[in-house]
Amino acid sequence: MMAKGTILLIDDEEDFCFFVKRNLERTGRFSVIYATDPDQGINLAKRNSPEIILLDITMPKKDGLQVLAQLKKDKKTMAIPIMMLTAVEDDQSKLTAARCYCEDYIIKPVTFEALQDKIHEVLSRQGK
Amino acid sequence: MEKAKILVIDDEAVIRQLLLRTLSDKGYEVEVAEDGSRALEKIKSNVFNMLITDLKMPKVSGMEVLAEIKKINPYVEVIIITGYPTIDAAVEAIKIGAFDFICKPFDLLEIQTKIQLCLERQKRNLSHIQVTELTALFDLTKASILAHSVESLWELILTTALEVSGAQSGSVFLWDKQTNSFGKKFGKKLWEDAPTFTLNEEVLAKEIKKGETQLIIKEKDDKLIKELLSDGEEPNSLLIAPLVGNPLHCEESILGAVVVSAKASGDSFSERDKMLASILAGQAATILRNSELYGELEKKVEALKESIDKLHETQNQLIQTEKLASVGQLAFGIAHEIRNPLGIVLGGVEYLSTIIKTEDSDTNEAIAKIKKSISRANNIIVDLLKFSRASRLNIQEMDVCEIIDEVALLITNKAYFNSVKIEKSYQEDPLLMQGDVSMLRQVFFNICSNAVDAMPKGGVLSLNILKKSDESTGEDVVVVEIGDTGMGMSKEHCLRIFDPFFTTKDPGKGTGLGLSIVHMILERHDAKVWVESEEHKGTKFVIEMLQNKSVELKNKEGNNDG
Ligand SMILES: Nc1ncnc2c1ncn2[C@@H]1O[C@H](COP(=O)(O)OP(=O)(O)OP(=O)(O)O)[C@@H](O)[C@H]1O
Ligand SMILES: [Mg+2]
Repeated sequence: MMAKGTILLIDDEEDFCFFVKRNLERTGRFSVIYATDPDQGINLAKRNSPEIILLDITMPKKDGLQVLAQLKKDKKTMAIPIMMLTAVEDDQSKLTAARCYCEDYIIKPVTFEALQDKIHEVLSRQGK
Repeated sequence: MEKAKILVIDDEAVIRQLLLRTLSDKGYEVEVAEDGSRALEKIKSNVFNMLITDLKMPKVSGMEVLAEIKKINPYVEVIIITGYPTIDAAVEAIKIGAFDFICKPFDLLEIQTKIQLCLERQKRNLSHIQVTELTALFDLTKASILAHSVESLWELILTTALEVSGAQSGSVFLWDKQTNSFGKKFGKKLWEDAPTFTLNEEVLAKEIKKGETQLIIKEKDDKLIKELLSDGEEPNSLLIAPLVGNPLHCEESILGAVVVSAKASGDSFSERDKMLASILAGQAATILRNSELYGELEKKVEALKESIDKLHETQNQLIQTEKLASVGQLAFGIAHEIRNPLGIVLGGVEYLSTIIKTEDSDTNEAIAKIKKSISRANNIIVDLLKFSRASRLNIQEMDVCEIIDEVALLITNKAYFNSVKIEKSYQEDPLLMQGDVSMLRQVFFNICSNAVDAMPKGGVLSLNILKKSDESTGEDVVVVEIGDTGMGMSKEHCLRIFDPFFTTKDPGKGTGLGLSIVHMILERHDAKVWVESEEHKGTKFVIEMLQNKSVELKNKEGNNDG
């Protein structure tokens, strides 16, 4: 039995975070922390070294792609796999995200099953 | 004595019936009309002594009927009845020529007295003239509306002139302002060997400038007759009727003259003939003026119509493009706005379903239904995004036949299920042109997919490619025709198919964006698309694309990408 991994969710929608946290934690395999403020999210990433980060794009204070770039530049966080979890679906954003070494690009709404699969996929690629 | 003919116009059936009965009983010949436009129809095909009309009526008002009848036949008297009398309306009606004004509710006796008074006045006015003769004159005005050429117009005027005056021959002289003399002439005689006379035009010109119809009788005006007919035979009498544009300025507004000579009976013309000739000349002058105006007007109206048509066309195109472009922009924004709450709903349902974890089939069914609806909503968004993406093109050289082949292949399965046969006919193969391959593929696919949908019981999907050159610019044009033998569409239906979200398909089956996307892509290609359809017969979409894209379009293209 694996240890509980921490997942960090950065999304400005409190309600979205509410359900993602509950759905993921119900599996008993993850503990979820989240931030609705991008900068606070970056701090959480630095402090808690989560196993994976789920990152929204459209947020009022800072664009998720900027957050991604910032996290990938910081030595403390650059190794954490990041998955974009967003409603934005356009080629430009996907390209930018890919160039910043994001692991996956998931479009909302996503079923919990699909999300879980993607998370496992990323984690197994990491050898975890 | 002939019965007086009265036309009663009122939109209230009760009043029509009341007047019809009372006036018929009093010995009048009565007809009724329920509105102004019906009344005008009747006026144009019948001669009435008088009209009794309501003022407020749908479509054509009583005032308009009054104005119109006075134009057609100024001798018809008009009595106006109204439930809403205003001084202004009364004054105006009398000005236009109404005989009297009666307020509703009216006294039948009052109406009868007024009718009597009115008919008396008419009789006095027309004491010289029989209504039947007037009829011929007024027929003239009516018929002139139908005359196609100037010649047929004069033929008509002369025929009437001979008819009412009893003359054997006559002529119309038209005044030419430029040369200040008579120009064109038209002559007419009742039979082959009717006597005709050659008039001295200078003398005639001098006479008609007096502006009055003249009855010239040989015994009395021998000198004038001799001057007018310098040589040859002399008739026993002549009628000279000037055609003037404005009776107050005869000299300046002279349009021509009507001259008739030699009564068939051998008699001289009478004062009565003179009066008829003068009425005729008045009418003819009006007709002449109208026809000149009409000619000019017609040209102007024609030109106006053309530009209005053009305007409408561009307007429609603009509206359509604008609509689509703004929907495209909106779509992108809306899609994300909706996806976020949709994500929450989905997360929420999934959460609830795990904590409830019930065996209750009803609850599970409810949850399944919610999930299904979420995915349906998301599919709409996917389509919307496709639509917004249609605005970006990548123009390359491509083979249109190959694309149609691909589309045919893509649609094969769907066609097979509907027992639809696919028939292809390419004028040239390959046919190279410039365009965005994936976009055009989408265009043809959307149209073909609709076509197959329109043939649920089987049919033929025909794919034709031809080439032609543009009529006005001479540029090479590639034409793709996609036809089906399906259910077809009504005209109104056709008008709406390019509107975003217009669909006749069952919920979940179509979003109504297919053809909007087609329209937008083709718009970006500077291509034309239209539809020809007949209900229960089938539909044909025709797409015309320039084979080589203009520099302008490519530039526009470049900007879009950048
Ligand atoms: N070939 C055709 N024959 C008859 N009706 C047609 C045909 N093509 C289109 N239509 C009509 O035009 C409507 C709009 O077509 P459009 O492709 O825009 O939307 P849709 O097919 O209803 O949905 P979508 O393509 O988004 O799934 C159709 O619902 C149908 O009523
Ligand atoms: Mg369609």
